[in-house]
Order: sequence, then structure tokens, then C-alpha cells
Amino acid sequence: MPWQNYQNLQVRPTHPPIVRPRFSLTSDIVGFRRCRRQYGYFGNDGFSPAHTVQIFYGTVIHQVLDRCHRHYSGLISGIPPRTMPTDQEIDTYFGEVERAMTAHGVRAINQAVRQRAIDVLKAFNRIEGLQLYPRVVDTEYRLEADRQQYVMRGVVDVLADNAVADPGQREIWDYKGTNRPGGADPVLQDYIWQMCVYAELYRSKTGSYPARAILYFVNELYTPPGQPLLQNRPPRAVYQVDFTPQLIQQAMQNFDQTANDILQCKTQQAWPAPATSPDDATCDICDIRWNCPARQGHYPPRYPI
Amino acid sequence: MNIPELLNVLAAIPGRNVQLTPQQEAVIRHPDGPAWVLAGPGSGKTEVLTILLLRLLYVENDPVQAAMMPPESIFITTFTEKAAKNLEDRLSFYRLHIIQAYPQLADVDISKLRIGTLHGLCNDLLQEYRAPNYQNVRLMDEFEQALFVYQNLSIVANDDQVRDPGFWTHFQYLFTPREWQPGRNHLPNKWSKTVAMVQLFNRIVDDRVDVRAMRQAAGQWQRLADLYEEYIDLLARHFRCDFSQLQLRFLDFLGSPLGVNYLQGGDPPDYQGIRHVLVDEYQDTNLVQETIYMTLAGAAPHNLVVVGDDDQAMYRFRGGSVECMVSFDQACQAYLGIMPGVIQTYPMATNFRSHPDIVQFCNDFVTGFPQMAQPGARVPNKPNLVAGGGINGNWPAVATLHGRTADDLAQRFAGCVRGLVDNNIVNDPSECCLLLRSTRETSNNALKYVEALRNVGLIPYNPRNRAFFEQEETLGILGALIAILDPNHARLPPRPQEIGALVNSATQEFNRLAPLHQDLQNYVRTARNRFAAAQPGAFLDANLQEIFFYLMALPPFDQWQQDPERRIRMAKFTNLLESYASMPVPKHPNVSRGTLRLSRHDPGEIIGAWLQQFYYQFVGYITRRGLDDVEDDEVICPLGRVPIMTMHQSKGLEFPFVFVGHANSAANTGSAHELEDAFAAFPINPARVFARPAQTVRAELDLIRQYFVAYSRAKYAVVLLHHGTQMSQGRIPCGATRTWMRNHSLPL
Repeated sequence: MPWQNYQNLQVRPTHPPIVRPRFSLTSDIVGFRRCRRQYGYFGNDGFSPAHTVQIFYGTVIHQVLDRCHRHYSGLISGIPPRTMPTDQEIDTYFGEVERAMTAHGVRAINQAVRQRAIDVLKAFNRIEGLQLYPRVVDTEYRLEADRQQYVMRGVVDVLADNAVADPGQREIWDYKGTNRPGGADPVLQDYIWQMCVYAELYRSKTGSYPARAILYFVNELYTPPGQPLLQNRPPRAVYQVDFTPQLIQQAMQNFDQTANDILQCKTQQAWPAPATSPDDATCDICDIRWNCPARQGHYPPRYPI
Repeated sequence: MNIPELLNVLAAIPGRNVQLTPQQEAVIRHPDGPAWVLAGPGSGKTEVLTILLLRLLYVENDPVQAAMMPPESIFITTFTEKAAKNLEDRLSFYRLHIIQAYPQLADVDISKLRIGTLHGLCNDLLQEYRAPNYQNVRLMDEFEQALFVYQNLSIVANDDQVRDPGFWTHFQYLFTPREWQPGRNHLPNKWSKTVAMVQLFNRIVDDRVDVRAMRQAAGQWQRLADLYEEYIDLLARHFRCDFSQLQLRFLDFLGSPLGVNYLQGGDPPDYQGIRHVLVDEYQDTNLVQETIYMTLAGAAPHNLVVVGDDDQAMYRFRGGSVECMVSFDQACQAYLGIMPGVIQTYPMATNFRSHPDIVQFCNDFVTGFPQMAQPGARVPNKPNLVAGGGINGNWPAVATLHGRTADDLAQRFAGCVRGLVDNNIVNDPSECCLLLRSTRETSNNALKYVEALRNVGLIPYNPRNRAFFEQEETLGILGALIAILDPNHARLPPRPQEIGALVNSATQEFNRLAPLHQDLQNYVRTARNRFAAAQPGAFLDANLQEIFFYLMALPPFDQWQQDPERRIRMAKFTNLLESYASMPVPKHPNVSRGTLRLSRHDPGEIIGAWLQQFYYQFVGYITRRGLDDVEDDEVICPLGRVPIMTMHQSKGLEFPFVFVGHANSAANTGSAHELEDAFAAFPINPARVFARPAQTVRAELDLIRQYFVAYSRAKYAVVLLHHGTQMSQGRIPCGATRTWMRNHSLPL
């Protein structure tokens, strides 16, 4: 027998290096906390969602605002620095982003959604631009945490000089393409938690915490047709997160717990539905809701027509 | 911290045994300027790269390095994302020990390092800098690029009976005889044309072809230049980019004011620009990548460290030019003005991986061929490998296993693995790897081995088997989709036959499953009834991708999702559908391809043109190219299974036992060799035109390198599998002469 040539040999056990997973704070950690089953399919296993209309709104808001920041900073060809974008230029930027998204098969679900996006972008530019744009230090600011079993990454929409006190201290701004959730809504709690994690990552990178985080709910700037345009920031548009050591510590503990839960699911290659079903907004757009154990009977089978 | 202090910290890490050889330490101490690191198999190059990075990041006040290098000024590329993550993880591990000994170094922010594949870094930087030529661009993979060309390029979409025959005849080597040959009374089919055009477009970029010069050559070259420009225009109009164009766009970016700042620094004021460029696996680089690296290292003293082994170059078929590695010194002269004799060369010849007999065998194998001694075949004056690992003992480390027939050989192979496992010679079946040139499960390739392993109770792991659509869940759900959309195959094209074959297999699988799963059967029946009852011309409420998810919620597909492998296959299926649905519809920019509508003229049926396109394009691509099964990027092979891999797949890996098949492989020239020669007539940089040997010789060199890679993966034993008279046929896998292998191995 061929193997007998090797009967005096014993291969020494080796452990090939295991590459640590990389987690994104928003798409992995927050996504898993929202629904581990949905995350398992789309975030881990790589399913492509059937509908892209959901991503239209958030993407177009973020990308047009990013262009506004670069416009003011003079980073767009032909635009002198410290110039405010006009409504017409917002239309142009919106059109650029929309055309590209359309070419990729991503569209607004209807004309009303499209118009709402344009309106809130112009309102943001009108209400916040003069105050905010000059303070912007960086956009799409990257943060990273090197943990023993994984690497965590996050991107802050805007890093701005502190508006209130020490200008050397920074604010982090995060744009949300939604209305502001209620105070007790777990979605808002998750946003706050996310800001606390950013704060800790920011501290480990720069040595100090940011002054505060501003969660900006751009949909609060919407005014229905026929009503006068907003000229000032409505109070509900902003939720300010003031950091305390306890809040951050609690956030980091939750964060580690969530990351460990993800690792456990990865090891077991199983992503059970959460014991408590997520909110309807999460489930209504989920492609795997039809046989979800957490929502049994809630979504009867649907037919193509 | 100086270099000796750095090495002391690393040497003190328990269980790590960081002891550098003089050759390795010489790399770590490379002062500045270009460095040419010739790293043989198993020579510890990843570790050396890591320590070199640590030196750049943490060393100061040393004769070699006065000050620490800002992390954002270091650019490192690896061949795969996994290799990049591995490098990052090693770096993080060592960093912890370094800052324990030198807490003040904790401020060095290694997250600012640029580590990744070249494509990944190009993509990241173009996005980060909002490069105008990359705003909101969708980066297309191979499937999407092919679909895009198929649907949009004029020469594919429309036949021109006057102009096209001459064009395709000019590039006839891009087709197999089965696909098309000049003189036939028809033109190549659309998929064959697509694949040919994609190959031409990618090579124009990879080989740094001067399109203006190509146009001036007139004739078919002019036509190709026109088609290339049409393609570039289509990409721009549809906000898309492919992987070759990504490199070109990055090169354009480097020449823009934003790119110049990235290279030279200045904004923000403390950004110093790119100061060090490190490239792993340089032997598989191509001319456009070479240009990128040389541009990145454009600032004096041109700190460009390339690490690789020309003997392990394997990617000519995908545009790689081993000549970039072999003539790195000439590239430095051409781009950086540095005389060849000045380039520091660092051989790393100690092999820590393999039994000494394997090391000797690999040396003898690669140097035994006279072709390898030709100028330009290898880096000049390359030393032989020297065994330096801890594996030693008296067993047939280099062996052959013979079978009377292919079946007999497969059984003997499986029996050998079974014996190694049962007798605890290996710790797990995954320590025995079978390497083949192709792992498709056909009788000439992996099928007999797969069956033989299963017959002795072992489970093979063969993800690159091109058998994605041979699994019951993928076939079954495709069959269910077709049962809803076109149950009678009314729009199934008669040709090419492969499309019909796959659709029929899928339908058969659905017909087998449906009676066993009433919910599925009822669902499909009800859906069809609803079509029949609906208004002609009505849009469906669900797009193509949604219908897939509806089906996935039904038995047996819902239960099959408990199995991770099946679930990931279904995930891959959704990726394919999304790619297909995202494709622009020519002349209808606001129409989504995934949207479905009933025919006005054919009640209860989906619009015929949609179905035909789905068959031709979606099913057509799958049958034309085949799809690999899913594989786990995070593990080499799951425990408990026997890995079956292509030799390309095994790059960078090692296994205790390696079995190598296809002992009678012959060196064949292919389209890659033809294109290399053809495009060499139009170089953007005439100083980088290679004096290559003849195509037949290049094909032989490629095969020698491929088997060198396969043999050098083994730690304890390498076994060449052969049957009948294969070993005496004088083919390359068996060495330079008909008797070479007999004299260099022991029969089992």
C-alpha cells in the first residue's frame, strides 16, 4: 500500500493563520443588532437585495451633501473656495448623482420621493450651509479599532470644528435620510450608541473625544407643497449626543458583545431570527421576510401578480 | 527604536521564533532606492515584508533610517485581499508587543497605511479623492463586463457581413476551432465575439498599448482602435468601469493635480506624499501596473521594493508579464533613470517549508530545462534554493504513484490518502492536497479522483469545479423560475445547444422536486393562473429578483438554507440576477431589466423579447463560461475534507502532502502569447518592449513554472500521479528528459 512508505512519519500539527474579520460599524454591527437573520443573509452570506429603491434616498442625500462640502471647499473644478452652492447647483449635483444611480439600476420609487430629496437638500443647504460648511474639517472621515479578534471600521460623514467652545475640539456629524425617531425608539438608541463608538475610535486615533455628535435627520426639513419654505432649523432635525465616560463605556461594552455574537454566528454558520421581532420598517423591506420565524404569519406568500 | 532594538523585541515574543537569516536581515536593512527581492518558495517573504514595514513605521535614529515614516506615506500591495488582511494582522500582532516595550510608539496610527490589492487601493483612493473620472462609477466584475459588452458594443450587437469577416479573421486565434474559424459561412456567435472583445480590451490596457499608434497602423488595427474608443465612451456614458480600466483611471488620477498632491504631499501641510512602495508577488504584475508602481515611486530616492519569484509566475493568460520581474532593473532605468547595476538585489533562497529532498528536486526541476537558461527567462544569477526548515527524515519525500489506467490511478490515490488519514500520519484529510491543471469534474480532470475519494469515505473540497449549476438547489430554483416565466420553453432559442441543455436540466430538476413539495407546486401553478387571469400587457408586481426570494421561502429551498454551502450558492445566484438586472437597456435608460411585463399579444405569457434576452444573455453566459462553486474566502480548506485545487489556486499555500496530477500535460501556445506579440508593435513606452522568446518556448516556460509552483507547495512529500506510459512521454511535468523523473523520485 502506498501510504505504508510513510508509516514512520507523523505530520506535526500546524494552525494556518486565521484572518480576523473586518467589521463595519454601520453595515455589520448596527445591521446585526437590527436583525441577525437579515444580517446573516445580506451582510455575511452576500445575498443581493431584490430592491434598490431603499438605497436611493440615503445615497443621494449623502452624495449631494458631500458635493456641497467640496463645493464650498473649492474642490470642485471651476468653483472658487468659500462659495455657497445655489439651488441651481444643487439641482445639477442631484442630476449627476441620479444619472449615475439610474445607470446602475437604482431609481427613486416615484417622482414624489425624488422631489422630496431635492427639497430637503436645498433646505439643508439654505439653513445649515453658511454655518456648517466653513467649519468642515474633513468628510468621509475614517476610523478604525484594532481588537484582538476583529478589526472594526467606521466612516464619519463630517468632522467639523466645534461651533460652541474650543475650536480645536471637533464635532462629528452624521446625516440620516429619515425623520427623527421618537426618544424611546430603539433605532434612535442605536444611533446614539453608534456615535459613542465613533467617539471612542476618534479618541484612540487623536487622543481626545470629540466635543459632541450631531445626528441630523434631513427629512425633518421637508415642507409639503404649498407651505412656506423653512428658513430655520426645526428642533426635531437635530439630536445632539453629549458624550460621558459612562455612556461611552456602556456603548463599547455593547459593541464588544455584538461583535462577539457575530463571531459566534460566523463560527456556527447560523443566523437565527431574533427572539423579539424587529420593527416593521426593517421587516417590510426585507426580502427574506416570507418565511421568517420571527414574523410567522405576518407576511403571507406573495405572487408575482 | 533602532533596528537591533526592533529585532530584539520581536525575538523576545514567546512562541514566535522571529530569527532572521542574514539574507532576510539584509532586506530589512535596505537603505533606500529600488530593491529587487527574489523570494523563493517558503522563504518567509510575508514575514520579511511585515518586519520591513515595522522598520519603516517604528525605527528612527538608525544608520539605515533616520526618522519614522508616516503610515499614510507607505503604499503596499498584495496579490489577494486575504494576503493583505494577513499582513495587517501580523502587523497588529507585532505592534502590540512593540508598544508594550516602547509605549510612546502607540501614537503611530497604522490604520492610515495603504495595504491591499492594487485594484482595491486604486478603487479606494479614486473614491476617497472623488476623482472626476470615477464618480458614482459601478465597478464591473467579469460577468458584468461580459454582459455589458454583449449588450452594447456595436460589433457584437450587429453583424456587418462586409467588414466583420476580415476583422475576426485578423484575430482568429481568439477562437477555438469549435467556436469559429475563418472560411465558415457565418460569423462567430455573440458570446464568442464578446469574450474575444473583452480579452482585446483588457489587454490593450494591461500591455500599455498606444491606441493612436494602433489606429495609424490602419486596417483591422484601426477598427480595433475605433471599437476600443466606442467601449470607453460606453463605459463613461453608463458610469461603469472594469478592472483593467480601473488601473488606467488611477494612472490618470496620478497625473491630475489631486494625484500629484497624493504623490508629493503638501495638502494638508503635514502630509509628505508617498515615500515607500512595497509590492508583493511582483512576478505576476503587468505593464500598466508596472507604470503605476514606477509613478508612485517617482520621487527620489525611489523607494520601491518589489518582492517575487519569476519561477512562480503563472498569470500570463490573464495579462501578467513575468518579464516585468525579470527586467525590473531595466524598468528602473526606463522610468526612474537609475542604472541597472545600481539596483540592490536581495535573494532569499532559504526554504523553510519543505523536506530537503523536495527542495533539491525543485532546484533540479526548474534548472534542468535548457529553456530556463535562455536570456530573459529568469532573473540573472539567481541562486538555488537551500533547505533550511525543520522537516527531515527518511521517507520518499519525492515520489511517484502509478496506475495502470486513469481509474486505477484515482483509486490508488484515494487509497493512499485514506491510509495516511487512518494511520494518523496526517492529522486531517485537509493536509493532503491534490493539484491539477483544471479541477472541472470531467473524466480527464477531477471527476475520477472525486469519485474515488468518495468511494473510500472521504469528502473532496473542490470549489473551482465550474459546477455551480450542477447542484440541486441552483438547478431547482432556476427550474422553478423558468416554470413561472416560460413553462413551455416557448422562447428557448434552439442554438446554442448549451442553453437548451441547461434549461432542460433545470426543468427536470424542478419537475423532480415539485411533486415532492406541494407548496412549491401549488405556488407555481397559482402564479401561472394569475398570469392567465391578468390584463394583457400588465406589469408584474415583482421583479425578477423578488420572484427568486419568493421561491426561496418555499420548500425544499427554505430547508436547504440550513446548510451554509447551499445558502451561499443561493446568495451567489442573487448576485448574478442583480448584475443582470442592473444592466442598462439600450435606448431605454429608464427601464430596469429586472422589471417583468405580460405580453399584449400572447395572453398569460411574459413578453417574448424579455425571455429571449434572459436565455441568451443570462443563461448564455453561464453556459458559455461555466461558474465555479462557492468557496470560503476565510479558510483554505474546511477540516475533514480533501482539497482539490488548481495550481493557480495553490499559489502562496502549503500542504504536508501534495499530489500532482496531469503528468502528461503539454505546453500549448494560446491567445495570450499571440496578443503579447501583436500588441508589442504599439507600445506606449518603447523602452519596455521585451525581447521575448518564441511563443512555443514561452508556453513551455509557463508550464515549467506552473509545475514548479505545484511541486514546491509540499512540506513532507510531493507525489506525482501518472498512469499508463505517461511518465516516459517526455512531457514537462516529468522533467527535462524522458528519464528525468525516474531518476529523481521513488515509486510508491
